[in-house]
Amino acid sequence: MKKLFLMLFALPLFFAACSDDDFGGNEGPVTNEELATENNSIVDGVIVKPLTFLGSYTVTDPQGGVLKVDGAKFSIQAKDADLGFYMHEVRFADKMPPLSLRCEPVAYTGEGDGLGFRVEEMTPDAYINGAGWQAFARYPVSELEGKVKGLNFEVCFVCTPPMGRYVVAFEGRLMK
Amino acid sequence: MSRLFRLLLPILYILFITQSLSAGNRPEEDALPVEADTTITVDRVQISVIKQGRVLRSEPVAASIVGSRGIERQHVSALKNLRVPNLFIPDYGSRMTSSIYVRGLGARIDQPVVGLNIDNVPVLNKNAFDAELADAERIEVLRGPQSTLYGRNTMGGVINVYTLSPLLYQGTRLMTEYSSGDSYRFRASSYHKFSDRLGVALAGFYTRTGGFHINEYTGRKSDWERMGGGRFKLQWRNNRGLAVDNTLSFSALKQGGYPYAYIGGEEPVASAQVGRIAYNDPCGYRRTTLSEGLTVRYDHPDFTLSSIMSYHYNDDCMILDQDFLPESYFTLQQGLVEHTVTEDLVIRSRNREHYNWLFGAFGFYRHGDMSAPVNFKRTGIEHLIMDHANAGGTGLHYAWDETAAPDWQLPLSSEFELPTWGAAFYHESRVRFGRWHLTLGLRVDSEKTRLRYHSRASLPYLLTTPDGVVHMTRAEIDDSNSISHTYTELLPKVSLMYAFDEMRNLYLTVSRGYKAGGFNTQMFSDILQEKLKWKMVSGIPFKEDDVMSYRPESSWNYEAGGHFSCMDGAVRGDFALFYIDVRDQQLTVFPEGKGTGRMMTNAGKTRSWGVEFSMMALPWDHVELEAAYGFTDARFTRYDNGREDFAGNFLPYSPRHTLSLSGTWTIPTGVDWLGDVVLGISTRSAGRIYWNEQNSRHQPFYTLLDASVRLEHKRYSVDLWGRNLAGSSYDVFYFKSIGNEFVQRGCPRTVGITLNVNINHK
Repeated sequence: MKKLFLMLFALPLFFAACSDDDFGGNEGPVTNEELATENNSIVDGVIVKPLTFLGSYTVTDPQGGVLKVDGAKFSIQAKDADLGFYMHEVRFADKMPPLSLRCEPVAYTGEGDGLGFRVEEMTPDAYINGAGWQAFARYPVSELEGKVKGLNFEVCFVCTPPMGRYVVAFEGRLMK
Repeated sequence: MSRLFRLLLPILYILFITQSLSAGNRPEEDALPVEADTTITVDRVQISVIKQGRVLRSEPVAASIVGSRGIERQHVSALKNLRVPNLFIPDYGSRMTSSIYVRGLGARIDQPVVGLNIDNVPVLNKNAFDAELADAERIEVLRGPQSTLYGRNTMGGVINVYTLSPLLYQGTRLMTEYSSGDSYRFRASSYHKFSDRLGVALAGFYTRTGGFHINEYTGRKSDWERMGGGRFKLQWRNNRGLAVDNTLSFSALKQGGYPYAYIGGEEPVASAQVGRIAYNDPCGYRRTTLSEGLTVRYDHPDFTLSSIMSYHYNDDCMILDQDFLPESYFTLQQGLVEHTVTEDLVIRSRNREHYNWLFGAFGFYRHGDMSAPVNFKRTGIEHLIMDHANAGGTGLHYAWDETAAPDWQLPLSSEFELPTWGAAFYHESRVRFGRWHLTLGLRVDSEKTRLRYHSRASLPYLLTTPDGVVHMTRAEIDDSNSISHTYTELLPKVSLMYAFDEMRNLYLTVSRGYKAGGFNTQMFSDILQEKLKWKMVSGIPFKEDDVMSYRPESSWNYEAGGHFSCMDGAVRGDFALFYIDVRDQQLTVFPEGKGTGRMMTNAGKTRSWGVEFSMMALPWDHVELEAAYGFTDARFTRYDNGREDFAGNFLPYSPRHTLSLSGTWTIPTGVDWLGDVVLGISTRSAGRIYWNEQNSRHQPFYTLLDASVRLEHKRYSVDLWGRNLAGSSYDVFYFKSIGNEFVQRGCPRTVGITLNVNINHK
C-alpha cells in the first residue's frame, strides 16, 4: 500500500552518439539476425555495404566497476571516404536508458576484408527523442580505436563526462 | 534443535508434577466436558468445527481460545484486540492494512501468512480481515502452519471465528459504548428459534470515531471512521443428521486513516516539522463487503460429510498523499473490486476409536479488477522528474510544458485484471495406540494466477538542445500485457502426541506451510518510471522484465508442545517450542545490470525459533489470573538485495516478545438485580520491534496498562474501562517515502463506558 515512487532519473545521461542517417534514429540496423559466414561488405579495404556486428561490450566506470552487456549491436557504414561508427541502444550504466550513438566522420584504412581506424578525440552524437541527433560536447570520446578483420570487429574508446572516465570495449561478429 | 530439548525438560517436570497433583482427584480417562475447551475462560462451545476435532486442547496444535465472556470482558471487537502469545496485529494506517505477525512471520502486502475463517467460511482477501466481530462467541487462534487442512496462506496459522447460534441462544442483545476520541459503538441483534429445527438471527452494528490524531495542515482529525453492517444467519436441522447453516453478512466502511508523523529524512524538509502529522492531499479508505456462506453437513453414524460454499464481494479504494508532506509530490489511489467463490468438501469418519480419517477437496476462483493510478503533482514533477532529468550535465534541458498541461498534473494510470483459481485435495489420518496418537496428513494444492495489465501515461515537456532550439514533445505510454504462472505445492504434516488424558498431552509436529505466489502490483510504478525515462531520453521502448512476479514462499515448522491442567481445571495452560525454516522468501531486490529499479524475487531464507506459554489459574473463588507470553527470534539467514546483505539481521515488524497479563476479581453484590462487580486489570506488552531490514530503527519493548470496573448481571452489564492508562508513548509503524521517515504513534490513553443488555427469550 505504501508505494515508494523512486526518482525517475537516478543517474545522468551519457553520450550523444554520432549517427548515421542510413541507420536513422532508433530504428536500428536491418539484419536477419543470423551471423554471416563471409565478409563481402569490405572489398579491397573499402566499405561497400553497411556492417553490423553482434557481440558484447564492457564498461569500466571511474570506480573500477565493470558492467557487461550481451547482445549488443555495433555498426559501421561508409560516409564518403570515411566511415560512420554506430552503437545501437547501448547503456553504459545500470540505470541509464538505452541510447543510439554515432561517431562520424571517422577516417579509416583498409586492406582486403578488413579495416582499422583511430581517433584521438571527437564529439559524439546521441539520438534524443523529440530532438533528433544532438551533439554531446560534454561527453567527449577519446582514444577511439577499432579494427575489422574478416568477420570480427573490436573497438574501444574512452568517454569522459563530468562524472569521470569510462572505458568501453566491444567484441562482435558480423551479421548477415 | 538441542535448545528445544533443553527447554522441554523443565516443562516436562511441570507436566508430571501437575499430573501427580491431580491424580488423586481425577480418575484416568475422565470424559472431558464439552464446555471446558479453553485456556482462558469456561464457556459454552458451539459445535460447528468441521476440520478440527471438537476439543482443541486434545489436538497436537498450539491454540488459544477466547470465549464469549472473554470477548466481552476484553472488548474484543476486532482481531487486533486479541491477546495471544506471539501474535501481533498492529493497528496502523487503515482497516486495509491488517498485517498479522505470528512467530516472526508476517506480510505487509499482498498475500497474508494467517488464514481467517468466519463460521467455517474462508476470508481470502486480507483487505477484509480488519472487520467488526459482532456477536462473536468464540475465537480460536491456531499457531503454526495449518496448510494441510486449510491450504494457501496459512503458513503462520489460522484464526477461526464462530458467531452465536440461534439454535443455542435465543434472545435480544443490545450494546452501546462511548469512549475517548469521540467514539461510539452500537450493536443490536436478535436470535429466535422457531422450532427445535430452525433458528434465525439478525444483527446490525454501527461504529463511529472522531479520531485521536490531528493533521496539522488541515486542522482536522485524520483517523476518523464510520462503519456499519449486519449479519443474517439461518440454521436448520432435520434432526436426522442434516444441518444447514447460512450466513449473509455485509459491511460498509469509510475512514480517514494514515496518521503518519514525519520524523526526519536523508535531507531536511523545510515545510515539515519533526513529530508532526501534516500533509496537504487527502488520505482515506472506503470498503464495502458482502459475504454469503452456506454450510451443509450430514452426520451419518460412520462419517460426516460437509460442504462449505462461499461467495465474497469486496469493493474498496484507498487514496494516499504518498509523500505525507505539506507539499504536492504525488498521490496514489488503489481501488479493487473482487469476487471470490470457494467450495470446500470434507468427509471425515466418526465414532471410531483407533483410526480416524478425513478427506477433503477445495476449489476457488477469485477475480479482481484493480485500478491504481499515481498522480504526480507540481513538486514531484519539478524535483523527482525534471531536476533529475537535468542533473546529467548533458547540455540538454528538460522543462514541464505548461501550455500543454497548465494544471501541473501527471497521471500514471495502471489497470489490472487478476484472475486466480485453484484446487486442492487433502487427507488426514489419525491413528491411536492407547495413549499415543499419530497424525499424518498431506495436501496437494495447485493454483494458476494471471495478471493482465494496461498502463498509460503522457508527459508533456520542453526540451532545449545545446543549439538553443526548444522542442515541444511528449513521452507517451500505452501498453498492455499479460503474465501468468501455475504453482503446485505438497503440504505434508506429521504429529505424534502422548495424551495423559483429554486435557493433558505432549506433542511433536513437523509440517509444511506456504504463502501463495502472485504479483506485487505496487512494483508497477517502477516499470512506468523506466518506461517514461526511456521515452524521454531516446524514445526506445522499454523492454520490461517480469519484476512483479513472485513464487510461493514455503516453510517447515518443527514444534514441540503440550497442554496441561491440574487442580480440577483450576490451573490450565499450554506451551510450545518451535523452529521455523522459511525458504524462497518473497523479497524486494535491486538486480545488477537489469536497468530497472527494484523487482520481486524469491531470494531469501529466514529462520525463526521461539517459545510460547499461556496459562489460566483460579487460585481463589472469584479470582481469575491469565498470562500469555511469546518469544520469537526471527532472522534472515540469506537476504542480499544487491545493495546490502541483511543475513543475520532480525526480521522487521515482528516483536521479539509479546506478553499479556490479566487478573479479574468477581465480587458478588448479594443483590439480585445488581449481579456482580468485576474488577479487572491487565497489561499488554510487545517489543523490541525492528522497523527495517538494516535493523537501524526499532521500537523498544513497551507495556500498556488496562483496567475496568464492570457491573455484571445475567441480563445486563455496565463496564467502565480504560486502555493505556499510564499514557505510554510508543510507535506501531514505520516506513520511508522518497527518503523521508514516518511513524504512526500508538493509541493514547483511552477511557470508555459500555452498556450491554441481554434479554433472554426463554
